[in-house]
Amino acid sequence: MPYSANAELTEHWDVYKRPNGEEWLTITTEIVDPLYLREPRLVALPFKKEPNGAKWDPTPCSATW
Amino acid sequence: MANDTLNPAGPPSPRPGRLNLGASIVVVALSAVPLVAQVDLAGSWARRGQTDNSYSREPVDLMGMPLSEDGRAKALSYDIASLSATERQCQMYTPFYAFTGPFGLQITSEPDPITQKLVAWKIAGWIDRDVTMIWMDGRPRPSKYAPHSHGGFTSGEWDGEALTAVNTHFKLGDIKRHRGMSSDRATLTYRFNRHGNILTLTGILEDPVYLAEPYVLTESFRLDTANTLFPLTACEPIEELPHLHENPALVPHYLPGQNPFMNEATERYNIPLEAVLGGPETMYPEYRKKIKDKYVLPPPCTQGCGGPPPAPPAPPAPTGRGAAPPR
Repeated sequence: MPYSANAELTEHWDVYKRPNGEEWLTITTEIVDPLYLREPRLVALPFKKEPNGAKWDPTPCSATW
Repeated sequence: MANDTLNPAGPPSPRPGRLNLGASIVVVALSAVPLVAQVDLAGSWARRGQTDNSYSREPVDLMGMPLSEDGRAKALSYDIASLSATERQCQMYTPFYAFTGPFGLQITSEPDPITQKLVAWKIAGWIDRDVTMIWMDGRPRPSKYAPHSHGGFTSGEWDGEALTAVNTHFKLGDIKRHRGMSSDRATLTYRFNRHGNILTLTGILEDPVYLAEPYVLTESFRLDTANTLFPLTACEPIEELPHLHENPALVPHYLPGQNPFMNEATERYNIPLEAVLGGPETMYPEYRKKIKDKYVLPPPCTQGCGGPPPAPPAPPAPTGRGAAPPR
């Protein structure tokens, strides 16, 4: 979905700890774009904190999957 | 140029570039730092439905669901026709339906009649979702042997600006549009975050029977000041499938290994069956690497591709007055 140069992105971050000690993050994103959107788009996603960075393995962009 | 026309007072457009938000304004609000103890959640909240909660068209699509072996077996035995039985047509879904259902949330505060102190937040029911009372008065949770209802028992407490609520004692029911179940031993933890006219709901569903890990979904709602989006209809059973009325003892289901839709997603999209059948691994991005060598790009999409429907066949050539002369 494209966005225009006049798009506005607002994020709300909610960081919380569960009783079992897990740390979670919910990010709510609101996108307002007077050119390409008739009304603001809302997206919320949950993230669970990893114990370490072992899974963080960024790789260069590739044209193949 | 169109941007300038719509926003004549805005800043000049920057040079287009990948990952460039241009003139965007990025505001980050760290709500983990509370400013006040409580937030007013009352109002009619319209569902925006813009978060991907893994809707799917195939009857067997369990990808991204952290099902246990028992949870997978339960999902594969389920036949949606069972909901057409007279006694099941009006049964309520689980409270998790607040995340996967089509309607908004109507939230009211329930004060003590004398002290006016908040006793509970009430989320009104829908045609097929029970009312949720979030008790804020510290009343004890019922015994695990207490009768279960479709809505269950929910208690809440404030965590800074967020309301955290724990829901137990609700009945077995489906948690992804007829594609997976939670048991009557499940616990749903809600977290309500209000940001102005936006309400974000995070749900963490834990179930020792049918889930191997918590199943987490989010949904955002926008305050509907006109209160126009709330359905207030009651469910009435009708004769949906005649053969179920003729034989009330019949309970539609699939025996183990006999679900006819199990391979549909694999045949249509080439997605390996082990992924289609879900499990905790399928929730995480790194799972893509595991099945990378088992996936072959399917042929060009011809069905359900998101594009416009195919053009209808051309009408027959007109005849009579005004018809074009035959070539």
